[in-house]
Amino acid sequence: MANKNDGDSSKDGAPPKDAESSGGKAVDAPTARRRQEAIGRRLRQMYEEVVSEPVPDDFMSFLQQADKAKKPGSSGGSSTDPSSDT
Amino acid sequence: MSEDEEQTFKTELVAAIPHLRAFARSLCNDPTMADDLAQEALAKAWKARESFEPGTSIKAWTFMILRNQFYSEKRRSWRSTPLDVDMAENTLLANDDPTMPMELLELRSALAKLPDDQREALILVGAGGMSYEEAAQVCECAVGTIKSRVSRARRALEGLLLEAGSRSSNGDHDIPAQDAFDDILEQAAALADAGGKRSGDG
Repeated sequence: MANKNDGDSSKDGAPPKDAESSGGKAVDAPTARRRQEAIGRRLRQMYEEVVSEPVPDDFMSFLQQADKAKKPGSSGGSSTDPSSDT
Repeated sequence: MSEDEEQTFKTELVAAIPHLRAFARSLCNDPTMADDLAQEALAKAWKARESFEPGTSIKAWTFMILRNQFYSEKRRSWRSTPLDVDMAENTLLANDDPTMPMELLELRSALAKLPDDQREALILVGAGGMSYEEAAQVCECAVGTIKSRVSRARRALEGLLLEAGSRSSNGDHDIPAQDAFDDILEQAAALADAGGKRSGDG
């Protein structure tokens, strides 16, 4: 319907039809839009894949160590910091 | 920081770890390097916990730390080796997931060709789902700057993927680049839909 969609906040000042991208040929708006949607999906997929991986043990053991180093058992003087960092 | 505050901070920090890893992976591609980077950022965040303002986004805060870490290290040493296809391929093999579409490899290598500022903006907003405001906080720049980087990155990426599509279809078929590209994207979409229907898509 509307061939112009000026209310779109996502494209900011960038003239959509100058095909400055190395892709070359200008394509119609629905195609361009479909491509961008597909790219968006793949980007999220790439990211989500790592997010959903189990976190390696190193990460958690690091925080556990930080915890132990912080409270050596009793409250009070934590002035002596046992071998905390390099 | 009270004991309670520290406990809350820690819980939030732990919850941010998977995102830190994903952000690191998108920045430097090599999984081992990425995890090193994420761990360093985590250590820094923990040490700097007193300077975190409760109530603000811990994700944006830790990402900012990781990003600074990345660029200072990059400037120092591990620079100069731009992602090559071998590395991306190793990543792919390491995952050893037959459902993983090959196009992710193309996506990664296309991303690697973007200028740093455009790539990170696109990753934060387009892949990580951050708001422009949060991304601006991470990159310590204006919101408008992020917006224009994201939009330039999107167009550049489209161009790079079109190119890649035309290269891979070269020889075997006579499919015009754009058709091949659209075809690949449709397959990727189908895979993504079949793979895991996430809560998204509204």
